[in-house]
Amino acid sequence: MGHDHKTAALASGVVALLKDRKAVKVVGSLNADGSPYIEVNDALTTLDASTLILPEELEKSAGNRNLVRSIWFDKPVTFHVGRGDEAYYIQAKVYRCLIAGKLFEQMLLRKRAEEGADADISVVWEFIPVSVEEVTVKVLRKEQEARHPYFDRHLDRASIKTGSN
Amino acid sequence: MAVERLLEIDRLGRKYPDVPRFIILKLDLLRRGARLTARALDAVQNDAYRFGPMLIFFKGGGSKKTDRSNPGSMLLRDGTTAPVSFEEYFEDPYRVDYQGGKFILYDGRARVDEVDFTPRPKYYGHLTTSGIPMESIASARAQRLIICAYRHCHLWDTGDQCKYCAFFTDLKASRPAFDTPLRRGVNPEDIYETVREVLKEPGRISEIYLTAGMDYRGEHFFDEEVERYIRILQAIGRNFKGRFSSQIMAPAYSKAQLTRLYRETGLTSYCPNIEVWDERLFGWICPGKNKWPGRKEWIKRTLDAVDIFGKGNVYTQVVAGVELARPHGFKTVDAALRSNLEACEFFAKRGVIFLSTVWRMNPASALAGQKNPPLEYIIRLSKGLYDIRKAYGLSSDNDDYKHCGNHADADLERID
Repeated sequence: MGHDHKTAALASGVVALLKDRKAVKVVGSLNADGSPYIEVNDALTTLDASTLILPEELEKSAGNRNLVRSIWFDKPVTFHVGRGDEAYYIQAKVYRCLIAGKLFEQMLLRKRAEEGADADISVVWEFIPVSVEEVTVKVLRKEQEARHPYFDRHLDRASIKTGSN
Repeated sequence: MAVERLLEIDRLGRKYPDVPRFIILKLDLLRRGARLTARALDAVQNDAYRFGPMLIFFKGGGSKKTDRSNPGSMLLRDGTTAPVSFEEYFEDPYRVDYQGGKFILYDGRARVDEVDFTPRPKYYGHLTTSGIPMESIASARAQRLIICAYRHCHLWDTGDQCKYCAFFTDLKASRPAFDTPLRRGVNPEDIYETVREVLKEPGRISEIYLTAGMDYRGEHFFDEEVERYIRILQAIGRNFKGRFSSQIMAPAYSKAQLTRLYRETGLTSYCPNIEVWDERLFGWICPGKNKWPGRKEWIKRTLDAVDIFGKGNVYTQVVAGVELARPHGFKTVDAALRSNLEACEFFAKRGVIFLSTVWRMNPASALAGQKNPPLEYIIRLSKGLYDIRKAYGLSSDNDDYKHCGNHADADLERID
């Protein structure tokens, strides 16, 4: 039940997106039957450019229950963070669940500063990233076309068909 | 030895795959306790961790003032609270060391996992207007404020205390731990001020819990105690706009007394603990409760409370393992398990949440020197109780992992 997982470094681009409140942040977890569950949660962040932090508003939300299942039964958690053209896919392990303490209070106060004094959170999750992959479409396309230069490209595209600009 | 034990936890984890290792570890921690190394003890002597003297659970009939403080309840990485008292006597405890800025739990030489402790609340160190240390009024778990409303159990006056119990046995010995001597009763105004101070810390507490020693005095059993609780709850209630998440762990009150408690205060939950279900063992282990007001009446009143507080807001607990105590306890764990699961089913059908807490041998109790309940037994019991309550649609909201922490069976509800 230890947590000595390989830790992936978070590049500056990922860190910037994690700290960007306008970035799209998606949390992926597994339901009890093994089916995937995804939710948008823009509260996902990092404070130390090393671990991921997720304040969870509701104890009984599907996402929170899945994260409990993840730490209990060693199930993976995934994240997608992106804004505009730039996007990253992160696989992670749950490190711990905080129900009080400095970080918990910091995340609660952040939420109350944004949403008012009646805002609340239930727990704060911390994750250790085990792999980070850039999934910016332009980057992926470049990689794919380098490996498969004539694969799956519609021939009427402007860059391929004559008579196009 | 330690390696064998870890393998035992691993073996039991594989045998009961629905029970997470964190919960199995918690159960074993509650059975066996933990000690802090000198390094770990040094690392909790600060305002982040220092809890100071605790006023409810005591070791072998006494305590003494030292210049060292214990931390609060242990927290496992999944958020599970393990209310291990580091002062109590345990034969074969886990060990907590401090390495690289983290607390590490060991079983013998084998590293188990990183752990942490409940953070010290900010109201600790404050005094009420009358000069009472607020931490002597209320202690804190991760999200629960625990107020001991009356520091004497009258069952001890006549030798009728529960046989596993060591509560209030060292009130006198605890006095040097505070500059202000402790009194049996607590002034409601001091409690009001303490709660008001507690609420200044953002997100620190989401439930208030009251407990006390049994006081059966009054025209009807418990009248004086009920009056005391009403005064205290009304004082606490001045901090809130309406009902507030709260529980009293108290004797089995009459319907009239419960009606007053509910109508005249903001109380939301009630927990009269049966302690041991089997009728014969109840008479032996809980002679005082068997008199005030008696087992049948205790059960009847527990069920009656559902009419007032509603389904799922009335609780009762057993001290798991005490039903195996010598010389009169069950001879096999299967018989003990049958008894407790029967009780859970009985109460669940009627809207009462039946929980277990792990029996920890206290040298000041009448049952000192007996064996801890087997780990596999309390795993089976926790899972069995959880399954029954789930089948009846009950959720232990007032006694879950972050508000109490004594009940592994309630912790299992986190994924429901």
